[in-house]
Amino acid sequence: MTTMAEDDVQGGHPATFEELFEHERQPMVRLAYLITSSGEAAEELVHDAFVEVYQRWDRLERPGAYLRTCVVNRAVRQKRRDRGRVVDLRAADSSVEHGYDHTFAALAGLAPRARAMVVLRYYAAMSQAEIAQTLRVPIGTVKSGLHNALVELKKVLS
Amino acid sequence: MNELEERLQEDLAAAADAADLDAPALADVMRTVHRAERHRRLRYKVAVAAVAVPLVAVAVSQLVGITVDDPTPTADTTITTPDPTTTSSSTTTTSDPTTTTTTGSTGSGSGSAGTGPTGAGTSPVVPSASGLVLAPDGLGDVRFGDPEGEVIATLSQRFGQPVDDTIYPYTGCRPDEKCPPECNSNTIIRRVTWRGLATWYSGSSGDFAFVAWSATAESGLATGEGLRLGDSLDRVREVYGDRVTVKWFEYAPGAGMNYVTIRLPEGRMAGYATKDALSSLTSGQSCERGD
Repeated sequence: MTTMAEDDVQGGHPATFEELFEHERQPMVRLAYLITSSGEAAEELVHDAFVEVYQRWDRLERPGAYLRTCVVNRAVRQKRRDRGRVVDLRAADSSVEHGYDHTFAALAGLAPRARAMVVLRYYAAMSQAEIAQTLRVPIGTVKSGLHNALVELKKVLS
Repeated sequence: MNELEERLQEDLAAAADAADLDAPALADVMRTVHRAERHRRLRYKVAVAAVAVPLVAVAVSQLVGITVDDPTPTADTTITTPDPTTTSSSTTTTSDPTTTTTTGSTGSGSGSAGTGPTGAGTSPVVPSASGLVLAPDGLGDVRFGDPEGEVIATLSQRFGQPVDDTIYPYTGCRPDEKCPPECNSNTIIRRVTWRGLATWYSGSSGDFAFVAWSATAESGLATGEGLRLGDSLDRVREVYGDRVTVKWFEYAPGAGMNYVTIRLPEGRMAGYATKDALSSLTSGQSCERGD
């Protein structure tokens, strides 16, 4: 998946807000959905993120990267608000219809930030440095977070 | 990349593809942007007005000799209201949704002003307008605490249509002043002005009550003892004797005015005298200081 947000990281810059919107609205909703598990929440928070980008457009060097940071951090916050719901990973087996359902259910058992790291690494194909930049955490936190997440997922999915 | 990582790549992409996701529409985003921008501009206008109006009022008062502020606030001084003739034009600049300004309205006298909180919609029993006098506890037949609708209807009988009617939220006391404990963020203030007379109504639930007034000679009103605005300080002393105090307040080198306090059993009225004539009086308790 190559998005304008990634191009931004490499120094690209969309000419207009409309251009960024057209290129990024679907990828950002997908990204948010994989972190939140909710299509409705994903649409809403991507909407809000675009509003924020528009309001700061003139001051942004890399609006695509900023947009992605907004989306991911809003999705993580959203997920934290939903943490009262306990997910039994193994119980997810009963509703599995596709192979990805099991993986998606396992993902839901991770802490919000760890889940975001996994999604950014294995869906958005971002480097650990880019993930650290997006989540505004040290790269060491990303390394350990990804390692622990993979250990957890391996236990559940094996 | 190991097997688990490959699986994650494939399954996350598949899950995202399979999800029935709606992306936001550009029109919706722009609507939100414009709504937020309107709110931002309104907040800015309100903030500017809160700072600018008192400053302009003071500046005008110094230029034309009309008093607007209490130079010597005391513990029991909880209102310092402006001369309505100096502020009416400035207060119409804001269009905050919580601030409603109408000019020349409230013809029915029911206390309705735009969409802001107002008094009851029923027709009030209107006290006689002939008994209006400047008093520490109101304006004669209308007293502090009376429902806004009744008071405005009575005053409209006497003075005609208000020249300004504004509803605005309480914006907080200045750091250097004492504020009544009932003044809080839920307090809504309504100011209705006629030529020479400003009145304030306040409440937190839409049941506004008459709380303060400020008058100049243009109102033509007099006190119950017969003192008229515009009368000389000697006349003030003659009418009220030792119940009146006069203090000189110099707001600039060589320029100043007399601050007049009249203490009566019902309370006190305060005002200013320029060129040895009483130019304004005010009484009551308001959360807001003249903006």
